[in-house]
Amino acid sequence: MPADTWLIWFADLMPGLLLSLQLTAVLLVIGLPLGTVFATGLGSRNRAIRYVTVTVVEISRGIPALVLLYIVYFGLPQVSLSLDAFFSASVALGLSFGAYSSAAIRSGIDAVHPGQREASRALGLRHGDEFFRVVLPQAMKIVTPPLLGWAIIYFQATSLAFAIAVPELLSRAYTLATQNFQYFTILSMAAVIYAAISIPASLFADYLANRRSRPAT
Amino acid sequence: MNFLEYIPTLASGIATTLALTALSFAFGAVFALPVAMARSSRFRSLRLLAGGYIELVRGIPPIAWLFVLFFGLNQFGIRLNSFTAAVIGLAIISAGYLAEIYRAGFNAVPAGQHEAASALSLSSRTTFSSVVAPQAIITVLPLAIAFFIGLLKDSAVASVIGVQDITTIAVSLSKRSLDSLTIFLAAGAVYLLISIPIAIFGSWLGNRIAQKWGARHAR
Amino acid sequence: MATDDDRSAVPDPLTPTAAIRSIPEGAQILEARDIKVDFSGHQVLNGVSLAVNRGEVIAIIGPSGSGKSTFLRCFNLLQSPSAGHLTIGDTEVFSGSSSNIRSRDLLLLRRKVGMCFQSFNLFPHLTALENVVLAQVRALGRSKRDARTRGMQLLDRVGLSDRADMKPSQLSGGQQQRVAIARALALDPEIMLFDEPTSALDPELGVEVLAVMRELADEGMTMIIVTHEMHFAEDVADRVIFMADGNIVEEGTPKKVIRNPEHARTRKFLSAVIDR
Repeated sequence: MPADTWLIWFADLMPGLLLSLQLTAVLLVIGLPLGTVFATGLGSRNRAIRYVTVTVVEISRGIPALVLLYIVYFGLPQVSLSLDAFFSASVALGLSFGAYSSAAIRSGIDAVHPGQREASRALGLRHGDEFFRVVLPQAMKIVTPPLLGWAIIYFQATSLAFAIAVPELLSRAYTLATQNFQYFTILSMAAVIYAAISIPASLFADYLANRRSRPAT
Repeated sequence: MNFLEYIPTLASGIATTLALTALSFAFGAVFALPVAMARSSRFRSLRLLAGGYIELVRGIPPIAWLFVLFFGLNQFGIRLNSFTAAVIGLAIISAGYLAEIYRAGFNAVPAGQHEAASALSLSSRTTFSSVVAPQAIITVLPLAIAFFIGLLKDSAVASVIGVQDITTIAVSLSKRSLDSLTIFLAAGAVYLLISIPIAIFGSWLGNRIAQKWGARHAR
Repeated sequence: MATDDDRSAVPDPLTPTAAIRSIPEGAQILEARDIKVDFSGHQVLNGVSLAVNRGEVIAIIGPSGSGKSTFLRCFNLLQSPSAGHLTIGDTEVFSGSSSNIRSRDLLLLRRKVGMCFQSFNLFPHLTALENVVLAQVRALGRSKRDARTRGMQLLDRVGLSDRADMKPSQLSGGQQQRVAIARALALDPEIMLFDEPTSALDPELGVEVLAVMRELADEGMTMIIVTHEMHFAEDVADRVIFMADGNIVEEGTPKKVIRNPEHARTRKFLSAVIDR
C-alpha cells in the first residue's frame, strides 16, 4: 500500500475527527454542569432531592449510552422535541457523562476539608459564596484527574453517534472503507487515531493524579 | 401500546444479550490471567507488551473493535458472523480490563503475606494458590461484577453490526411503529431490570466472603 | 564446622536435618560474616558479622534505622545481602555477592530457620489451626491428620487450643502473635528469628507473647530476637548486640551491654529507652 494513499485517507478522516472532538466539547459543556448539579443533589440535606437525584443518576447510568442516544434522537420527536443528530448525541452523551461523573465530583466536594466551610461561615459568607467561591474551586482541583479520565471515555463514546448517522470519525472511516473496500486498513486507521488521542491523554491524567497524591512537603 | 406491553417482545433479546455478555466475559476472564501475569512479570519486555495491550483496549472505543473485526477482516477474506465478531471484540476488551482488576487484587495483598509465606518455606505455586489468590478474590469480586454489568450495557453496541440483542429488537420495533420513545424507554428498563439482580447477587456474594473471613484488616 | 577458608567452593546442597541436628549444644549453628546490604546505593549494613551457637539466645537492640531488622532478615535470606557469607549448620548458604543457593535449597533453609514478624502476617482467610497446618502439609509434606495433631499440640503450647477455629480477625494482637509463633514452630525449625515481635502490641498483650518466648528459650531453642524490650533482653538473652548505623557497636552479656555499656552511642540509646 503506497504511503501517499494512506496519507490521503488520513486527510479524509480528519473532518470526522474534528467533529468527534466538537461533539466531545459540546457534551462536556452539557455534562459537566449536570454532573455538578447531580453531585450537589446527592449530598443535599433535603431527602426528597437526594432520592430524586439518586434515581435520575442510577437510571441514566443503568441504561446503555446507545439506548439513551436512541431515546433522544428517535424518541423525543414523539413528544415534539426534535433535535438534530449532532445535538441529540450531545444531549444523550452529556446526560450519561453527568451521571457517571457525579460520584467523582461528589467525592471531590467531600474531600474539601470541613474547616474550609466552617471558616467561610465564620467569615459570614453566604451559602452560595461558600459553595462557589470556596468549596467548588478546591474540589475542582481534586476532581480534575478523574474528570479527565471520564472525558477520554466519552471522547471514545462519541463513536456511538455513528448509529444516528453523525459523520464523526468512525462514520467517516466506514464510508471511506465502503468506497475503497480497504475495510481493515481504514477502520484500523480510525482505531489508531482514537488511541493516539486517548492514550497520551490518559497518561497525562495518571500523571496529574500521581502528582496530586504525593504529599506536599 | 404502553410501556409494559413492549417488555415481553424486547425480552426475546435478553438471551442474546446475556449470552454475548457472559461469553465475552468468560473468554476475557481466562485471557486476562496471562495478561495480568505479564503485566507484573520480571521481564520488562513482557510488562511493556501487556501494558501496551491494556492501553490499546482502553484507548479504542468498543464499536471500533467490532468494526475492525466484523467489516475489517473481510478485506482478508475472513467472514465472521456478527455474534462471533461481537464476542471476540468484547472478549479482547474484557481481557484488558479484567487483567487490571486481577492486578489490583494481587496488589491489595500486603507484602507481609508474601514474606510470611517465604519464611514458611512455601513454594511460589502454593503461595499463589493458598495465600495470595484467596485474599485477592475479596478485592477482585466486586470489581469484576461491576465490570460485568458495564459490559452488559456496552454489549448494546453489538446491535450496530446486527447482533439480534435487546437494542436491535427495540430498533426494529420502533421502525414499525410511531411509539419510539416508549419502546426505547422500555428497552432501557429491560437493561436496568437485568442489571439489578446481578448487582444484588454481587453484593450478597461480597458480604458472604467478607463475613466468612471476619474483618479485612487482620493480618 | 565451617572452619575451612575456601570461600570460592561451591556449597553442597543443604541437607538440613542431618547436618544441623548433628550439631551439639553449644557448637556453632549460624555464622554471618561481613554481611553488607545496600538499597540502591544506600548502605544499610556495612559488613556485619555474628556467630551463634546452638541453644543461644541473642537479642539485637538499637535505634530504628540501625539495620537490625535487615540483618535479621538476612539469616533466612528474606533479604539477600549484597556481599558477605552466611553459614547455617555446616553449609554455606550464601557466599560472595549473589545468592548461589538453588530455590529448592532455599526452601530447605527456610524450614530450618523459622521467623515471626512485627505485624504477625497471619493468613487472614485461614483459621488459627489452618495457619499452623498449611506449611506442614505443603512444605513438609506431612499428612493432614498429622499436621492437625501437631498443630493442636502447638496451639495448646501457646495457650490457644480453644481458639483453633477462629480467624485472625477474631483474635487479639497478642493471640495472633502466639499463633504466628506456633505456625513457625510447626516446621520444627532449628533457629527462630523474631523481628520486633511485641512492637505492634499493647504492653499487656506483649507480656503473653514474651512469656511464650521465654519458655521457648528455656527449652533450649536457638533464638535471635530484634527487640525494644530491654527487661526481656536482660532476663532472657545470653548475649546482647547493640547496632547503630549499619554496624555492631557493642556486644556482650546483657549485664555488660545494658548495665555497663562501653560506648557513648550505646549509653545514649539506653538512656533514651530506659530512663525516660
